[in-house]
Amino acid sequence: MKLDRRQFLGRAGAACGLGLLDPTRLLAAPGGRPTLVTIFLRGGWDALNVVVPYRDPLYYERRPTIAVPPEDRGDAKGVLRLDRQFGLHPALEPLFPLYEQGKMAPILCVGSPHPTRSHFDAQDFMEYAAPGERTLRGGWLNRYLGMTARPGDERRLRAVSLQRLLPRALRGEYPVLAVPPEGGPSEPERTFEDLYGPGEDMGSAGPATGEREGREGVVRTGQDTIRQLERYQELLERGSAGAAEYPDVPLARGLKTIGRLVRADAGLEVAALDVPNWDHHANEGASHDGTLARMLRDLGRSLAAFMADASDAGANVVVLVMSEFGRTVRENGTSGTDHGRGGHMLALGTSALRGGALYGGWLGLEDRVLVDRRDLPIIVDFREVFHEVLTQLFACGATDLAKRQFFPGAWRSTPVGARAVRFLARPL
Amino acid sequence: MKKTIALAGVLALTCALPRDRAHADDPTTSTGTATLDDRERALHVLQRLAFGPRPGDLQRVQAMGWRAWVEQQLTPGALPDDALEARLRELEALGLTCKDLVDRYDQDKQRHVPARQLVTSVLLSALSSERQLQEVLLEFWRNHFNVSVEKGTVQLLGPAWERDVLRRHAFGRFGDLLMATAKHPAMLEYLDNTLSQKPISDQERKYLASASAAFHRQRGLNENYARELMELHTLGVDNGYTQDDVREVARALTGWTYSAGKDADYEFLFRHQVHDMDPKRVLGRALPTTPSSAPQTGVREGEAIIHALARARGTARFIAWKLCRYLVSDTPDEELVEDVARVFRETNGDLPAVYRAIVLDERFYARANYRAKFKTPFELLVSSLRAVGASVEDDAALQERLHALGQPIYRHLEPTGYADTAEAWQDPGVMSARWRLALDLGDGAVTGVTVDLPQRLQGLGALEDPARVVQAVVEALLPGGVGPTTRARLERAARAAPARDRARVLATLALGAPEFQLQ
Repeated sequence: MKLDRRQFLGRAGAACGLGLLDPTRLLAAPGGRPTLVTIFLRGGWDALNVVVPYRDPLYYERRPTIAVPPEDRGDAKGVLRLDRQFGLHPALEPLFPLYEQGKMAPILCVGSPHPTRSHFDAQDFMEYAAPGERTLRGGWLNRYLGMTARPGDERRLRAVSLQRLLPRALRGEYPVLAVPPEGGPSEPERTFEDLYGPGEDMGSAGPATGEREGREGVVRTGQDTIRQLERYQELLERGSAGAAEYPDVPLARGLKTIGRLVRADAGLEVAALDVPNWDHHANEGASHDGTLARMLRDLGRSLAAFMADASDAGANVVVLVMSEFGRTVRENGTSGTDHGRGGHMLALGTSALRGGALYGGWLGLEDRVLVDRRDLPIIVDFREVFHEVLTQLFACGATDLAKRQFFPGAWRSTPVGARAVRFLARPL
Repeated sequence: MKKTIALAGVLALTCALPRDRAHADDPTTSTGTATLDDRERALHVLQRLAFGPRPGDLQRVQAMGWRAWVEQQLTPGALPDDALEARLRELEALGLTCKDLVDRYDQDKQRHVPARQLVTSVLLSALSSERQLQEVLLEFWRNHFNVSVEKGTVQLLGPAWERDVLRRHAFGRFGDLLMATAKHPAMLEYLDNTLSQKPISDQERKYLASASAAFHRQRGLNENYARELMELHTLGVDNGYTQDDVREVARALTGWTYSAGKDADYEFLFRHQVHDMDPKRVLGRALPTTPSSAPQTGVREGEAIIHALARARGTARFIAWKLCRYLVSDTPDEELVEDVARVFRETNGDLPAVYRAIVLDERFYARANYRAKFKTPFELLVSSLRAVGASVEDDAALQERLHALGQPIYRHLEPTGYADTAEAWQDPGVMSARWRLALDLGDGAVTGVTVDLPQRLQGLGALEDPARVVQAVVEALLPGGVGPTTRARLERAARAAPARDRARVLATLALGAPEFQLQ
């Protein structure tokens, strides 16, 4: 029988049987109570054009029309050099100063050991952090929230997603709010508050039919909506807007709102945003023009504005930009790229990040080091990144995570945590 | 006219009956038998095999018998649909060939028209077609063979796709449907199988000029369609194919494109000049070199693969499972899926036979499935409009609602199409938009939509007993009944509302009630 969500919250620690994680642990994080913002770029972004090996002739050979030039050439802008080997796509120019300030760090050749190149599966496996497993019901962020739940959580806003449908990473037993663009509660919520209010019908005796379960599920969802929107509105009003200027795109709007929640000191631990449309099979474009450049420009400006606001507020924020996989090293016949394997993540942070450096690994672009002789290798299992976020940013114990089998499944050669990336500072 | 009479009949009946018809309306005190009785089946087929009952529909289906109604729906061609057809004739784009669509609409200020008319036709058809099962199944195939009008020429070609691929073959043979999808310009465009017909841009020319002589350009291979053909359209993820197969299928499909540009006919075209003629090994079979004396015969490689995929055991199983998940339950009975898959195989993909194997099977009518499936936004919107007997003069506002609810027609970006399980749709974030829809429909505040029912229920406001008003509204909008808590709260709301507002308030609450979110 499915636990009623409110019961679940009350029994959190006891239900897991391993004791409640110390609620004061978060205070020990460097820079104070941390907030993680995950940005999932749906479609598999072309990581190789984001952090570019600008001195490798193979890069230019493999990508005759879509490679980013090593330096400015007339109209076409060149990479922004991060070091002697790698450069940033010029459209991400707003992030370059952050790199220099130690607030941004790429993690190279991150991926999943599972060989799927299916969007749907790769996204699922990443968001559940369990490649190859199809039995898990909750995303990794939801599992974290459930594992660290404590009484009174329904009065807080620990996690939020600023879009109508929750990303899979936040789905699961623990109730998380997906806030529609309209924002806080209004007439619809007030109208239906009574009809969906708690009552005798719920969880009562009688035949458990599909109909009754269906109805109870809908009622629970409705109750969650009302309660969480109220909480959200309260907290939002506590926080002021920052001074940074955001572009007029959905990602920026979402980040701006998260900024306000952070400034409200609402105890927000996790926020998630999706950006669709990165599946560039054709006409990807190169450096200053084309679809990828445009989208990177929006991404860079949005992130820079958010980081400025977060820094101003003295908040401890880490942003993790990820995608379900990278793309083929070679461009295809339609000036685009196809689904690949290894890709890059971008990490940003106000204080907890050891930025200004590149993490992960690099083996070059020769066919023999590529997966199936076509895709970037996976040097860092993405779960290592998640594991480090949990242990370093959220101060969860590594032994605790191992005992709970937080990262289940057979797809790994070493236990998760054995090969730390070390991109986050140690907690005090 | 017929509607008025039928509804008046309903109201008359309701007012005359004593209050304690609790048993039939209150599912929690129902017999709880394993399968449904006749009245429940009539409602069940209207909810699953149609987009919900309109006023009077339940009585009509009960009168003719649910089985007769289902049989009728299984041969949609024999059902007259004059009113809708007349309405759709006004939408010029719906009847045009691909070429005509381009000629007529590929210019400034016109480009949005075909997609606009297409989504209107989809909504109006679901709303008012007599061939409801056909519309329900078309919604399935629309998502199964997802294309998005936001991609390239699909914006213009959408109406031809819906007509010539989906509507033509949804009650035919799966193999024919599949081949039609593979050769239609809309799919070829959407999944990038067509080589770009645009001239090389100045930018590309610059790079090509500066590229080294030793540079080798990959030969036009784009795996997108080949992958989705197997993963999404036929076998299902990793169900009998490998990455090698994806590449080999992509090679076999090189040259599959459509003619575009000035004077082109925008039909399927096999460009043998760009077809990979070398031998291939696909799904365990060897395809020999295409003879250079007859390069046009290379098209048979792709055709052979598509035929094989249509006949594959894995395909029968995948399609059967997906259809059962859509029609029967989020977690369909394994044995039912197996039985349906067998029918698929034995009839060589005869879709009406497959549909029949589901909708006339006793397991479809198991109580576990009754009113248990969470409605997708499209299902909710259309069933709400049907329940209140709405007529739509202008669907623009409704299309925006669908977008707010998360399911704009023909605009799903990824080839996976819209999901149809509760897990995908039942989020706190969407409840607000659902409630907003109920509110606005109840208020008659949706632009372009006229709602009849609340006006007809006005007379009920004069009834003293709030419980009778509630009963009337429940009979009209939630004929499957409501739980005791919902009923008690509706009665509370009825008492709190002034008499003249009572019907409107209750209709709103009914449309947003938990029971109405399920079918």
